[in-house]
Amino acid sequence: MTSSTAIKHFPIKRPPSQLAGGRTSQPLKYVTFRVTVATSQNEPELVAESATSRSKVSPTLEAKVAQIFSAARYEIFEDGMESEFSRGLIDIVLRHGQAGVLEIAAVLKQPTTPSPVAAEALRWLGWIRDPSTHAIRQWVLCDSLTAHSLIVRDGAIVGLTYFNDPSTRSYIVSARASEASEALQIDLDQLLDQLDFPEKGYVLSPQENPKIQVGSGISQ
Amino acid sequence: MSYLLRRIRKSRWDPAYRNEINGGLPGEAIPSDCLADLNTSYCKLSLWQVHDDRSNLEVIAVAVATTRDVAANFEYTLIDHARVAAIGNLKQSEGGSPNIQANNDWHWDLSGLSAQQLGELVAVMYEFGSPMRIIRRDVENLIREALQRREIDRSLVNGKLRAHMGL
Repeated sequence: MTSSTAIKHFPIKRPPSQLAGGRTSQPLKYVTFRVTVATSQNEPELVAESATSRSKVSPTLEAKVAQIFSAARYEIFEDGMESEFSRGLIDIVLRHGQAGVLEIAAVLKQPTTPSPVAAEALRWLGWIRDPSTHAIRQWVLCDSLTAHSLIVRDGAIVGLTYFNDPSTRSYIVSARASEASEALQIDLDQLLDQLDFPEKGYVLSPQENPKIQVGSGISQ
Repeated sequence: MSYLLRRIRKSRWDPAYRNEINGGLPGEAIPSDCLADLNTSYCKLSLWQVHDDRSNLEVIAVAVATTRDVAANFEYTLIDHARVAAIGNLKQSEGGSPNIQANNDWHWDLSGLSAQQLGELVAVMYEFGSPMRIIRRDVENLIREALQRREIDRSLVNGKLRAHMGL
């Protein structure tokens, strides 16, 4: 499935920042923002099922995304370590929801975006736990499995291991069939193994350890 | 023969990465980005000793992973101990992980390092290293197992990681 068809399956909603009295200019905490959106009586206006245009993206959002990607050009990333970039990226996703992810996806597609930065973005897009953007992040991650850059494809694979959603399996199988890199073939096999045998290696079930949801990252 | 482990970002060491940079690096050139995985402090590089049967590999992976902010894939490479010892002053030292036994028994420093020696190490790692990955799910499970067995000191685990994992 190509990205142009895949995206039609996701309801892209206009974020509050584009509605009258938008809230994103106010220094609200994520939780407050989430509660506000989740409890709003007014369903945000639908843009279009197939909307990929950035013409209606808030200039503030566009500038913010461009700024964090630009600042990250010389940042050195380490697995498991937060960075200015990761914090900025998470902030955008949690504040702006689907519109934020779409804007990030647009920057990922730009040829001027360094592949290590794009890969880092994909890792964190997979790591975030945010149900409201789950579908759109899944699309971005799966779409990136076919990226020209090996580094970007690696970032997508890592992101999908964090994402840990069995519904991505068909995309991964397809990517495995066309992957040229032996190293990434092994990583894709490892990812498929993770999805096919989710219980393998689990020590504690959530019932045994109610403090934690297995596989959780940032959750709301 | 034992190995020395260094945490890396695997993709930086993939030979195909060379082709992505400015239209490709010449010949067999090693990408300078690999140096990002070899940050030294006071001219010392931290390494962990892994038994030849790799029986302590997971213990070391947990020791290092619990110093991180979040549970993530653990990517590493193993290099022959002898190859590293041939480059510079390799000596056992106390590690800084939440696993006291690992700190005392398996942590080594390659010390008094010059930039040239670091370059030699990169070349050895690039040619002879074996980049590997332990996926996040397994890292999380190994951390929980280690806590249950009291192999690691919970109070020394990275506070952000404790919060994220609910430890």
